[in-house]
Amino acid sequence: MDTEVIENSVESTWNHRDLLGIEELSVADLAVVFSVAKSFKKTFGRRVKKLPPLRGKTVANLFMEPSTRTRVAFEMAAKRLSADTIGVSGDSSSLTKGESLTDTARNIQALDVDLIVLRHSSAGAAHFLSQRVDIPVINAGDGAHEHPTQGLLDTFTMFEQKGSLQGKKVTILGDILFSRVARSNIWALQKLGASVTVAGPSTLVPTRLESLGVTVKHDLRQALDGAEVVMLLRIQHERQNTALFPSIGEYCAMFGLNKTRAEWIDPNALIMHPGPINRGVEIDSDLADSHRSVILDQVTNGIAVRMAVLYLCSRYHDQQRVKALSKEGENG
Amino acid sequence: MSKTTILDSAKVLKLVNHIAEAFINSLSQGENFSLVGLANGGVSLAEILKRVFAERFALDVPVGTIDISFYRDDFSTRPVGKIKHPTDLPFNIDGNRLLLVDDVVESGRTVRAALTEIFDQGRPEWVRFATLIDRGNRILPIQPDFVGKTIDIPKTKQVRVSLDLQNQNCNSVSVY
Repeated sequence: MDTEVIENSVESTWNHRDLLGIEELSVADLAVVFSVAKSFKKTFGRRVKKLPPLRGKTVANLFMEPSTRTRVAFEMAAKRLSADTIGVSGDSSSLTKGESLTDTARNIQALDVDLIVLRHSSAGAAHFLSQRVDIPVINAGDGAHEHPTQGLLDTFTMFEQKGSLQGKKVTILGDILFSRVARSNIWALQKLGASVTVAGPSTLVPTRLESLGVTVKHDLRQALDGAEVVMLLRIQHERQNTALFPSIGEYCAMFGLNKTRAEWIDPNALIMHPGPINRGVEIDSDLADSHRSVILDQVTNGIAVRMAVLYLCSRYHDQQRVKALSKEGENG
Repeated sequence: MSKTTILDSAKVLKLVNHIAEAFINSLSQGENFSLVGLANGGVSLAEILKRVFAERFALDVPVGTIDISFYRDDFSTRPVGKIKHPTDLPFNIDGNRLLLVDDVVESGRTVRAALTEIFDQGRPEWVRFATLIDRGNRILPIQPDFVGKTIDIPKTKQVRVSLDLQNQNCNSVSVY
């Protein structure tokens, strides 16, 4: 996909009520999201930042797993579109009292909520929920499965900085095994024609990933050589019940991105990280703050992309409802 | 579908000049202003007016653009087209005087949305509205202050305004 495809994309081709994963999106869908996100981003410098498309609607942010930036970004995106938001987090909800996810969601829908954003520790949770409610469900991360809005904002950032990703070498480094961010990015990057390399300790980078069409490298130099984008992933202490590498210090020594290793990548390469950064573990502090780092652009783009997703899913759902109502009218 | 050209390039230019002149005459002494073209049709018209203001009145007028895609009231029923000219108002709205410009006015909904968007961004001293073609069928209490030509055609007909900034001999207004 090149820039022209984005310029010529049309919103009306979007036909998804839910965003559950990038796997099921087409290249045209990605183009629409990027195009709408670009339009929203242009409104960011305004004195009044609110736009009216979701006025009168309520977005429920169900975060059954801790999250700061994704939750804040979704909340901000919804508010910028003039929606009201309610937040429910795992530890403060009745889930701790034994209520099932379906019951929580149904209760929230009974409160006349218009859209649900769900973060959950189980893969497939968003899919499960979408089949049980009749309002849009946006996956904000489900277990080790997908984190579609992160994949969209990462590739949107790459696109913004690099133009077409066709044939460009993108290296994802770190904890791929537990990473839904990696999985969503791999899907998006492959659809966009990038050449994806994943690297890290063999315990965290299973060779079966090759079946997804990515190149797996355990040699860091080969993985980084000539890469135009390096995406670092956080070491997820909380998901590791068993020791998959000896120590943080050893991980850093073997796979941390430092000044010497940064010489191997393309001089104009982008350095990305979905956050939160473990400074001095995945990446040297200086590199995280260097001119090649687009880590903070990712945060800003996270709002624009999530606005686009909320806008598109909500609009499609409304249009379907209007169609259904007019059909009922014809029949009645 | 038959096409009737109702205005050729000479007539279009004459009407644009007429709008410019009427607008300048309506200003109080020393009042400056900015142009706002309504995307998509009003964008070229605003540029042409800017040129007329420069050539005939020696005025350097700032030009901005309003795209009302995110302010539409038929958000859920009509597919939104691609945004060719996103909203860009490169001047302060507060206290400014604005000449809002569109090629054709019909229902008045677009102007209503544009006014909402403008007032979300600031409080202009006043806003006046100029259009090349007024084709009637208004459903809101919104009337242009300056009109090139008023035409009376059935609702089913379409008005197409072609404004070519580079080659103004190609400007025309047709009815389909």
